[in-house]
Amino acid sequence: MPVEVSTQEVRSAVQEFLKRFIDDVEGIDDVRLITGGLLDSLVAVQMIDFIQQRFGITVEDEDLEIANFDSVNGVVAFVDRKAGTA
Amino acid sequence: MSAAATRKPGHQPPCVHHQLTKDAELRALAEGEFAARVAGWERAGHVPDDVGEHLAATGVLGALVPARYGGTAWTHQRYGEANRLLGTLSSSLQSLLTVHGMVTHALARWGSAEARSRLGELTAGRELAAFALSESVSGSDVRSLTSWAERGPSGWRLTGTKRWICFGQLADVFLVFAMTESGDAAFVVRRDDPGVRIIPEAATAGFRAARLAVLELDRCAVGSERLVGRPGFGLTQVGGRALTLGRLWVAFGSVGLAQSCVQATLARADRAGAAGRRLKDFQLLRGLISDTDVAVRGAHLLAVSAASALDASSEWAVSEVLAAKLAASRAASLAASVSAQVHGAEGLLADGAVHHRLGDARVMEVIEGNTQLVQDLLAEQVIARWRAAPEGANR
Repeated sequence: MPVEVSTQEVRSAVQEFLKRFIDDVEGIDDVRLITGGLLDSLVAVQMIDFIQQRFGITVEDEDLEIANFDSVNGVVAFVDRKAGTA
Repeated sequence: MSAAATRKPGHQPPCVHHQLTKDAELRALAEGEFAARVAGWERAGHVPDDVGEHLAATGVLGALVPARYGGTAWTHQRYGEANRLLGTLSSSLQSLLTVHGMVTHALARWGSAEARSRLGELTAGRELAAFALSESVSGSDVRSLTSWAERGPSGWRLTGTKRWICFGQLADVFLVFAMTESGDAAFVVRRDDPGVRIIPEAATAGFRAARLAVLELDRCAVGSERLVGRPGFGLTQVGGRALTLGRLWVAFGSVGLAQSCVQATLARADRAGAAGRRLKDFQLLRGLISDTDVAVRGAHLLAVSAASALDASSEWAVSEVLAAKLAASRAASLAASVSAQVHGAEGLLADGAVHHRLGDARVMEVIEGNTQLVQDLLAEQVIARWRAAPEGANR
């Protein structure tokens, strides 16, 4: 069941997650996280797991588009779409 | 052999003991058929072709596959203990569970409908699976893949050379990682696909019976249903998750290897010497015996803890697996080197079990991420975990 969250809540949750692994997340919202090499493959997987658990959504095969996970803005838009909060 | 006959009350922590009793069939196979043949296959340098059939009868080859695809759906902990058990016998044999487990799990999770429909062949042991990630110049540095997959009219064309594939000589199905124009991707390649060449690797000091092979792909054409996951997610969703599992199986396998080294050490150290004095009575050796005991038992507990973290989908399971892999591979190195030391000149026999285990332990510190890479990844996790709860919620 998707959890009811606002776009802003999604953004801060994703930033909170990234702060664990990235020293400075200021102004990072459009930076390429995976293809830019900022997150290694294990952390990229952890981020996807974090999004699923935190927002109660399931990342399906067809959701595996790099645009959905490669930036904070991409993740926020993806969660909004999946959880229907947009 | 009955389950009751295999119990050794008081010899194992309760959780572990509980796991062992579940797999009486696997235990009977390890202690019977396999135990009788292992010395021969280690000497000959190849695990025999029929092990798959024997293992399949115990359900272990479908352990990481849900029942709807013909699997037996074991917990991580139960599969881990199976790896440990086979690891006590032969690290080469145990490595089959590592790679077959990684690939079957990945196909069940990310495979196409066609790939999933063929999983029954793998869970029944009629086919074996192998993991083809490493290349000559990119071992642990997976981002520097040079294998290439080009999109064609009806699928993909793969070109590249994969190295050090455990059970590559026997496998029917390979999970191959390659770059595409849309990023890294994973593919199913079958042994009988056009453009596939399988060459045995040169003899290695460790895992000498693990049927290591080189996989050469020369414009190997496969259908679009062979793509696993999506381009851009091959190394993360498919490979990253598979490697986390693989590291856990290596951890359990290393514990098994370490335990067999300890057995050999103790048997040798407790033997009466010419002058009636036993090695166990020398104080410096007592230090080696106790340090090894702490390392091996600690590693086992870390492996069990990591397995239950995965079973519970815990947020920091990845971190637990890395810790278990690091501790267990090093425990195996320590236990194997102590065993070699205690055996003196006997331990130097090139064809002997003591020497083979020394080589196997070296492999454990290299396979599925070498010690230094695992340290690097674990430090990142430890710091992230601290950042997530600096007040000490981890304690």
